[in-house]
Amino acid sequence: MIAAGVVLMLSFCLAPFFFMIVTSLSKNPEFLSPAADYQFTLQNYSSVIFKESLHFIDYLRNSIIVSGVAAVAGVLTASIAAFAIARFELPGKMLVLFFALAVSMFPQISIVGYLFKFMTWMGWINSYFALIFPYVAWVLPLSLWILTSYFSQIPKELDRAAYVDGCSRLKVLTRVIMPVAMPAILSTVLLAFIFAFNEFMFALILTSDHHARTVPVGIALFQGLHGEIPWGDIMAASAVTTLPVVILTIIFQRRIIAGLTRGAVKG
Amino acid sequence: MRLELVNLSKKFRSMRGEVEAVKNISLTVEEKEFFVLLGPSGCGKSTLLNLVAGLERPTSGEIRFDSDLVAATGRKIFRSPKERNVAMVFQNYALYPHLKVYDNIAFPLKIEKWDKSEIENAVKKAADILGIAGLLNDKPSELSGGQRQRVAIARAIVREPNIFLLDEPLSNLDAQLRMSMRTELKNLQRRLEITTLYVTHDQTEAMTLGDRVAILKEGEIEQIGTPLELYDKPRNIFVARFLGSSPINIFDAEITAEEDKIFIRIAGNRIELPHNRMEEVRGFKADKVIFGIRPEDVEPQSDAEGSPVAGEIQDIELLGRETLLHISVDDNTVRALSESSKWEIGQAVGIKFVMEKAHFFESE
Repeated sequence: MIAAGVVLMLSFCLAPFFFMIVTSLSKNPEFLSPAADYQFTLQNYSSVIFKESLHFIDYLRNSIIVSGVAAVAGVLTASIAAFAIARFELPGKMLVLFFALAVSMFPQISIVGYLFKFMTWMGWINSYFALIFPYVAWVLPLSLWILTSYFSQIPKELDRAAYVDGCSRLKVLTRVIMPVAMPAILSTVLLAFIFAFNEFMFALILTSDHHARTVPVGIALFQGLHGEIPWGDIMAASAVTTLPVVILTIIFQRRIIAGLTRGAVKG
Repeated sequence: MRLELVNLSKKFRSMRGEVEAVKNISLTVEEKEFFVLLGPSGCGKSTLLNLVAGLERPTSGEIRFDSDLVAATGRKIFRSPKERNVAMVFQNYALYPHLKVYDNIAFPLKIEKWDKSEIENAVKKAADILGIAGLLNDKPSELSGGQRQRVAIARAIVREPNIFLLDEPLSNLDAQLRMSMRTELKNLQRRLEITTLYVTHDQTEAMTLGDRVAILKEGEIEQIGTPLELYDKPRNIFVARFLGSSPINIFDAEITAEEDKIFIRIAGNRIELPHNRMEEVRGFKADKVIFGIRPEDVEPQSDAEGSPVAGEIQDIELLGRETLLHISVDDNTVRALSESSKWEIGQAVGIKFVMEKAHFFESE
């Protein structure tokens, strides 16, 4: 019964990926074409990777740099804020948390016009800065909430021991809290990275060509001059795009799980 | 290093209002002294320790290390824990879970930026003293409770602190380990000659460890003295009740004077007071007093007839060498320690109070 449920669940979740992979390896990638016509090819992948006019590799590089910088900067900022909220007696610190949550619920479309004007004024349109700054702000509330709840679970005795051992507040954060919370920090970085990596609207409005354009926008604009849709290229590009995320998850997975199963203070 | 607290107070503000955790406490811990703060939970003893460590700011008052002011609210002086060079051991050990034992012990030295070779020597020395040299490469999660506590103590002594602060360090250990660690801790303190402030709610720990003990209740000091002073001459019922492994007997009593004799009425029985206790009792304002006597000063006697007070054995607790009897006298229960174990439940017994050892307190 459980096994049947698992199979159902997995097939439901993985069906789009299966479809993506199959289409990306097809010589004749038309919807609803009979399975008998299927011909295997790697042509789509090589064209996506090597055809310079598609700029796919540029998009991928832009995406990784922008999302990586935004995720790391966002989580670093969030961890300082989370440390303050979890540990210090601040008037209205819960207000800060709820304000961050409220801000994160704003629809993106409501600020994108202002953002465009601002970035034009700064002269950052079609540069990494145009995306990194909004992305940091965008991943901040989520990171703040995750880290605040995790930091609050770390016993306060650890801080007090560190203060007595001669740490300043910043050192308590960098030498004790952050290393102890490393699994949470890594998973938050990963989450923030995926968030930024998948972002579409800001990237669409604030970039104009392959110098800064990110993968989601790039793939969406793959369609040719005459409106034909190159499904093979699109699917191959999507498959390649999921790779960094999968690789990151696998790298971090061991540390995240090791951290989660380790006894914190008492046994 | 001598530690002096002057009129120290600490108030906490919370949603429910203001709580005064420490109320105007003054005390002095002499150099090399092992000083114990004893009290029930919520009496402010841990707050007091945090104030000395510099983890909390006093609301008012002064703290001096020798002649140095480390905190004075009047002159706006507040030194950080780092500047005070104190070391602290916590109830739940508070070892850094991400660091190996070696790095845990070395942590305070690394923060102070010692040389690598110096750190190594200091860590080795501390680990040898605590007998954990073989564990230096383990992570805290691989250690038992007793080993973790040793690591925590090693981390505390590694940099030769001015004052050694211990916050219920033994309460998470099992009974047997607690006893051996107690002895070891006492020896260690004697050997290192570090002024020590030790917080506990366990009266046995306080009695066995402390050169002097301060008993706290609701943020105030009830009494300060050597363990024996506190045990033999408690200033009030709270102190009397708090010390002693078998709790003291407490009764309402009434004093009556007849000619040159003084009698005391306890549970319907009249007992004459010996001469050397008369002065003390005469000083009381009211006739009603509270009479306290420790179980070891109550002598049960097998012939009920000839004794001043008679009762019946309700319950018997075997403690090994001694036997604790619960004897009902009218509506009261008297606890008595007896070296003999030839008692039976339901047996009628006489009771003799050793009046020389009795305690009298004014009733509230």
